[in-house]
Amino acid sequence: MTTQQIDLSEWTFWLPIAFTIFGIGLFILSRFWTRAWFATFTLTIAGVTALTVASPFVGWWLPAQGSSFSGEVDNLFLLIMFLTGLFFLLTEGLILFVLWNHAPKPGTAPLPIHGDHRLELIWTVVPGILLALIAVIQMPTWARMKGQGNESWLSARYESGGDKADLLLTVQGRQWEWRVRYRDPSAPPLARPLEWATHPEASDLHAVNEVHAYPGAKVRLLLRTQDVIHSFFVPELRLKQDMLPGRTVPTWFIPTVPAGTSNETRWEIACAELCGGNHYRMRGHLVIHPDKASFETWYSTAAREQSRRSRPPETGPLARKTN
Amino acid sequence: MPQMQSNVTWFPAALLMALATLSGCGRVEWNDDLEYPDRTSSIVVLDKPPDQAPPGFPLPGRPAVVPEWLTARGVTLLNPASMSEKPWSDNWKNTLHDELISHFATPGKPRLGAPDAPALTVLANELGLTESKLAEGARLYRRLCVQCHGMSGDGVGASSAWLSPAPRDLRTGDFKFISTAEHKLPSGFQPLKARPRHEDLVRSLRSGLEGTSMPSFALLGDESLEAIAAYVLHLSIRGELEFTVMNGALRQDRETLQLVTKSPEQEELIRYKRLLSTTLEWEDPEADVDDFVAKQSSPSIKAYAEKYIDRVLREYIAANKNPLPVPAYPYPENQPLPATSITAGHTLFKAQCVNCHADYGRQSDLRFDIWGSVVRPANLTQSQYKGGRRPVDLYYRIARGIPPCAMPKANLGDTDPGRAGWDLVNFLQALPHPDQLPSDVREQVYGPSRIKLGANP
Repeated sequence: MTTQQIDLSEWTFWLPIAFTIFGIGLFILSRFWTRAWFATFTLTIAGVTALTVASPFVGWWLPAQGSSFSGEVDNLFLLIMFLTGLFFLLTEGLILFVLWNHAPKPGTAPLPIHGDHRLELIWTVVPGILLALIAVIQMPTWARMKGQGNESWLSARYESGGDKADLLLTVQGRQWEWRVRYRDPSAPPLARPLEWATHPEASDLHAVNEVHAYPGAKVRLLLRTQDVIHSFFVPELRLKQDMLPGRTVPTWFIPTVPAGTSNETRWEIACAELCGGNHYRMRGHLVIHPDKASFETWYSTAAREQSRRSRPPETGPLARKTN
Repeated sequence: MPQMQSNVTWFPAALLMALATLSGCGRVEWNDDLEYPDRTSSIVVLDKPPDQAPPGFPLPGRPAVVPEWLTARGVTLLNPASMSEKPWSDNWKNTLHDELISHFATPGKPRLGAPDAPALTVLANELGLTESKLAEGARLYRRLCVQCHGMSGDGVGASSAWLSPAPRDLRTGDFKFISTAEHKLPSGFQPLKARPRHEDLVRSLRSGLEGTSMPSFALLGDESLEAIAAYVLHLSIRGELEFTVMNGALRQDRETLQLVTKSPEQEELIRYKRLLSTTLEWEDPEADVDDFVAKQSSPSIKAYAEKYIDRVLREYIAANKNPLPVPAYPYPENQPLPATSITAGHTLFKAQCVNCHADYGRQSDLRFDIWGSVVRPANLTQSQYKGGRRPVDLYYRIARGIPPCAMPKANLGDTDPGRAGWDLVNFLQALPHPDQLPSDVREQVYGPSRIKLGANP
């Protein structure tokens, strides 16, 4: 086995040491200075608030919005962020007030108090109402993301209507990669698309770790897993869906890119469910082509390669030498 | 008093945090002082592998009970721990170890060819095994491959125990999915080993081996894949040299250690050498015949190692220049697979393939490969192909076989082997899809009532 070497120039090495020294120091300081806890809490809260306010301006905010529903999800996020932020400041303010006003006084015994029924009622009912409000507000978005909305191409348990998905593909997770299978877009609509997820057709296109799409495409994903639970997560799409063993989990998205994008956009597909030793390595790319035509070029090239009946062109050092 | 309580909870929390954070402080490279371990695993001599796997094994892999089962059936297992000092009087184990170090160095700083053997370095560079590429390959191998394939390529990395099929042991120089044409050698000569081409190694890395635990590494990019392929060859050649020398030593068999298997007449040696000089671009065939004979018939390990690596490198170079010819597709392209061709392929399949791929592979008829692990002939109704799903990949498997698994190449006849090969490929392509098969073939494969429910009937 290899021995691990400690690199003193790594900041991660010093982090726990700094934390420990800080903790011990604070503990000792609070023996002499009764406002030490107040000072620490004030600094921490001020720091966290300042970081939060500054982060949108220094690029630490949400990733780009890449799907038709990503804006809605962000709005919900901001709403919850605003509400929880408000209450964070309120409760932390109260804590600071108590720390300042009721710091231990030498020679004085602490005053024991019992609860206040009215106060407790207030801080239970008010958050309760807010939670119920959030639950109601998010419902339409949730329903739409889960395929229960008004999109006719998703309704009626899958493709029975004339309005079919532009791209139908299964993504099969396994330790540790994404196996992707596209249905030929020119093939006729399916009566039972869920069955196609387990019954490949001869004209399917097989790929690994890369999902290709184009802006505005109605993409229907049928998620499966070969072994354990994985989770298909593309942060830009605001789409995260678990893949459960033995089940076909349908989901969908319509990718969007900023107008005038002329290059292909690459976003990372990350497994968002700890799935084993190499979970960190279970990555793929979602490639959004600039338009439908370039997607079709890619598709036909890949399909032609998959049906290759001649020797592929030589690569490698020896081939380069003869060129 | 609350402050005293906080005192108690601070320290374990800080300690846990320190440990958790420190656990990520490893380095990605091998340590410089690390050496490849010497081979300790048994060498399986499957001159005649049993054509049946031991009963009761539902899955392919490397079950622990197999060695005893093999030995009970007369298969020789050579244990490197029992190596004697024969057949050399000097301390040959150490000599072999030193030779491996001098030619292959260490995982941290891999190279191919000792500094005092510049001819090997030239050949290695031609094959793309340059020192910088090997270093990059070793770094990636350490990060991505070692968990399953092990540091020396022995196929028993930390997670290998849970994998079925078992990860490849690279140390015999055998590879399954190759597209190299066979060298035609006259009888009596040790056949040249089936070497993979650069394409084959990179394809396996790029697409993974569907149906096994080997994933795709396509996102690394071609340069990284080439570096890994180079390092895999480095490991493989190192392992093969070790394997061959130990194999000969354990058999107490000096002949194994010669490059010619039959006890050679000088005349035959010259012919053999000339042959190698044409297929492998060996040195001038007429020169130093005496020297050649002397080296072959009384090899020291040092001379043998150099000669062996030289030969293996030449074989790899020759393999790259000698691809299996792919006959032109005899039917119109971009058309549905012709029914007559599928039927002809089905007839060929029934005649040649069903012995192992019983019931089109749906029956699990386990066998042995040359590593002594249990393998399963592929289920061909699943549309899952380890060696790639392109028609040309299927053609390679059919026309070249999978040598280490005793999958022979198909006998495609003399009249029109190209057409026969493509017929078989067409049948295999249609086989997983009942709607693609002509009705009589479909009935034979899936039975009158066993027509698979298509997604799109």
